This record gives sequence, structure tokens and C-alpha cells, in this order.
Amino acid sequence: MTQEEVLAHVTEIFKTVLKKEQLSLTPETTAVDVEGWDSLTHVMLIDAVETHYKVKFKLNEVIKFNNVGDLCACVIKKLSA
Amino acid sequence: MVQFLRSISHSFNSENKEIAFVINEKNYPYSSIEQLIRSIGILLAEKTRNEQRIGVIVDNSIEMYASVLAILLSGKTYVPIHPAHPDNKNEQIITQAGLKTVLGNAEYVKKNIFDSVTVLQPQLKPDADFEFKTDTNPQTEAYILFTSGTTGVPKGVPITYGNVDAFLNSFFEIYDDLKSGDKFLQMFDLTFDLSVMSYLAPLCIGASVHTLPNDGVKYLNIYSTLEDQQITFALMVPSMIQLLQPYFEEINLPALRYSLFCGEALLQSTVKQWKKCIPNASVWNVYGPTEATIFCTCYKLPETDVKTYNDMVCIGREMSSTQCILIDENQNEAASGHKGELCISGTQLTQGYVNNPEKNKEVFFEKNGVRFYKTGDVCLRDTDGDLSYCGRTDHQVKLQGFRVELSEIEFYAKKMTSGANSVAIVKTNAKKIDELHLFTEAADITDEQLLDLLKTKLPAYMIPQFIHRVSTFPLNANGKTDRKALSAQLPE
Repeated sequence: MTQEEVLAHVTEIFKTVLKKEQLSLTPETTAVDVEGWDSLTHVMLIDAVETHYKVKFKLNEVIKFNNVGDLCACVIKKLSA
Repeated sequence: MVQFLRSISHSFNSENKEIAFVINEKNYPYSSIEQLIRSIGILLAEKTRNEQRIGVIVDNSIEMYASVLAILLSGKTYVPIHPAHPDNKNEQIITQAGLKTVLGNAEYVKKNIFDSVTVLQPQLKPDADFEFKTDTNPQTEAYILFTSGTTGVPKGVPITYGNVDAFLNSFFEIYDDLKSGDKFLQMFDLTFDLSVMSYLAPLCIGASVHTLPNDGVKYLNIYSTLEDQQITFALMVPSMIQLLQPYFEEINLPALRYSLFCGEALLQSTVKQWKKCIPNASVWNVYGPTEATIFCTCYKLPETDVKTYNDMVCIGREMSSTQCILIDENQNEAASGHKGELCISGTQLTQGYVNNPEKNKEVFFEKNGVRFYKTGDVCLRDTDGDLSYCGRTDHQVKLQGFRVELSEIEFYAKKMTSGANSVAIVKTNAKKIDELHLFTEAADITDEQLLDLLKTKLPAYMIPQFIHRVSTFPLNANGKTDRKALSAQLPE
């Protein structure tokens, strides 16, 4: 799966969880850039991504998600493992 | 005499090379901040001679902390203003507190809410000669914090220097082995009174204050700060460890000596697991409303037989400046072994809300010559004297530690939907995380539109995560909206 494909899926997940139909994500997007992306929604987002891809992130992976690109890269790494 | 002012003025001297603050990975020794505090002190003396209350724009910078300290060491009163909170809320705070001057970062000054006040930018002046004032009258207000009000008007809670002193005296009686090498986590916005303990207690003993980074996600930042900076004392809201719970097996924090929780119910099922992550720390559940200065009861969790009520850890006994009674609906003391509304008296208690005689009459009362505050919290006292929190007398809830009147959310939801009835409910999900749901009869507005409108009036922690449409609300036997029935419609 390519980064673009994962980004597209992740964007749909974010739109649903954050209730923002017009939301647009890039690999560089961070929590600061998106209104409503806080501690509670972060847990919901991680949970939704884990459920969608049937993967489980470790704390030391989640800590290093500095932006959406890092999250997508980790998904790809797990899917190809 | 105000003891804590003497203690912090003693810590801030040019000889003290110990670290006072760690902010965004930068260390600030006490000696380096002393002159900044004196510079702001001079600025206040020159520009605000006849003003008592001074606003502070919240931004997690060293200038902000130096501003707060300069205000306290001038005998004035600080009122935090959070730039991320809705403008109308901040305008109400500025008006209610009668602020004429605000200290803060120029980048926020462009906001219209500051049009009515003078904004002073804190700046270092190498030659500023300002003497720390430590003989402030204990009856003087030290800070005013604003809490959620049922009709959208925030309530101002003034806390005096005497109140803070009483809290810190009680605090250091219990935590008597804290010392200058200790490292305190400071995870709270200045608008939240738990911040006062988290920055002031360490500064009294020459220890260090470790704040969270400005970017990123809060609960992950807390973990990183605890681990990377080897924090020894952490006061947190329980929801933060609730969010970390899926990762407990990966967490090991041997440096932590004290792990305190406050602000919302601490669940025994969670804390039992958390204890394995902090092998060298004692765990404490502390309790207190803003009106009684930070916290006023505490419970040290024993290794076994932790006292609980519905999985909520007991809130313990009064600290030395506080007395508590439980009353029934007739304002008589509840019979032994019976639940009652928790009422607090003592030297930590506020003098009353700012410009709000009606509310003051409602929640403060005298009994046998002693002034009490009705907390709205229903408690039970056991034969050892320990208190357990059992629930609320009203629809106030705690969300991520913030005190929230559900009726305030409903008030604005109704206003934004041309009068459609709305009911806000907090439901704990399967991961034991509290989520905010809004039920509304409104049909001609999308979720996104409604949320966007609510965001103009309410801070982020009061914005619902879920919106549900209903044609009519279920009613209970008394003809009132049946909140339990609504809650039962939500998945467990």
C-alpha cells in the first residue's frame, strides 16, 4: 500500500472522528493544525486507524508521530511486516 | 506576613544557580529569572499604580511565569486570560474582573478582546531595581479564576494570599520531604487552579517546574516529560492516565516519588495498573473545589485494601486548614453513615464569588458561627473519618479535570438552534474514557455547523464528541427529561 493510499484512508477516518467533512490532510499536518485534534480525539483517531488496518501501535511509536506522515509511514511498516 | 512570598523571594536570588523552570526543553535557573521578575515588577509599579487586578495572557512562556510572580511579589492579583478560549468568555472575564491592564505576549494583542485594556509586554531590563513585596495583607486577592456558569456567565473565584498560604502550609505538612532537587510536573493551564500548586510549591523550596511542550498531544507530552525529565512529583488529572492505559506495560518511571491525582474521579481499576508503572512512588488521591484553594482533602493509597465507592478511590480526610461536614437537604448534619452534601470551611475558603451576591447566598452559609461552602458533591464518611465521593447534587461534571456545567452547553446549543431542546450527557466508554454527547431536537443544522457555532462560545473541553438527533426526549416519572434513558441509548 502506498503512502498516498494510506493518507487517503486516514483522511477519511479523521473526517469521521473529527466531524469535519472538508478536512484535508497532508503528511506534514500536525495536531496544532487541526481544530479539535486533542488528547481525547487523538485516542479515538489512533483507535480508529488501528481498527481499520487491524494493527496495534506501541507507545514508543505513537510518541514519535510528529505529523500525519509519521502515522501513515508506521501503518505501512506494520502492514508490510 | 505571607510565608510563601518570603519563601519564593528567598529562592529567586542571583546566587541560586538551581533550575527553576524547564520550558520547551530550555532550562531557566532561578538566578536568570530574578531580574526578569524585577523588570516586570517595575513595569507594574510604573504603569498600574492604582490597579489591583492584572490580567495575564496564558502562553507557557518564561515571561508568563515571571509576570505571575511579579504580580504576586507586588501584592497584586493575577487573572489568567486564555487566548484559545472563546472571545465572549474572555470579554466577560475582563469586564467582571474590571481589568484595565493585561501582561502578555504581543502576538495575541491583535485580538479585539484586548481593545478595552492596555497590554504590557514583559521585557527584561538589566538595571530594573524592584524590591519584592512579602508583607502583603493576607486578605488581599492573589488570583481570580473563572469557572463554568449555568447560564453561560463565568463565575469568578477570588483566592487570597492567606488562602494560598493556608494551602501551602497544609501541603508541606504532608509532603515534608520535598527538597530543592525535586522535579515537579506542571501540566495545567494557568486558568486551572491545580497549576498554582504545580508551579508555586516547587518555587517555595527551590525545586524545578517542568511544563509541557506547546505542540503535540497532551497525554503523550505528559508521558514524555515524566520519562525524559525524570519527574519526581506529578499532580495529574486521572483522565491522562486513562488515556495512557493501553500502553501501561511499556511504561516504567522509577524516578517518580509522588503521583497525585485530582480534578475528577480516580478509578481503582486503573490506578492499580498504574502503580506497576511507578515502582518507587506513593499514590495520592486529593480533592478540592477551586473555592477551597486547589485541594483540601487527601488520601494516600495503601498497598492493599484501597477504599473505594463504585470503583472511585476515596478522597480521604481534611488537610490541616480545612474542616468538612456532610449535610442533608434541611441543612442539618447528615447522620453517621449516611450520604450528605459535602460542605467545606477553613482558611482555604474563598471570600465569595466576584460580583455575584445571588450565587454567594446560594452556596455559602453559616453554621454555629462557621462559614461553609456547599460543594454540590455528595459524599459518605466512614468510621475512620475518610470521605468517599458518591456523585453530584446537580448536572455539573468534570471533563479532563475541568469543571463543566452541562446546562451551559445545553444553553448555547439551544441558542444556536433557534430554541431546539438539547441535552448534554457524559458517558464513560468501554476504555473508561469520558465522552461528551449532545442530544438535540434540531433538524435543520448539520453536526459540523452546530459544532462550529458552539466553538465560538465554549472552550474546547466543552465541545461534544458526538451529536445525536431525537424527535422528542424521553421523560421520567416527574415529567423531566430522562437523562438515564438517553444515556442507556448509547453503546456501552
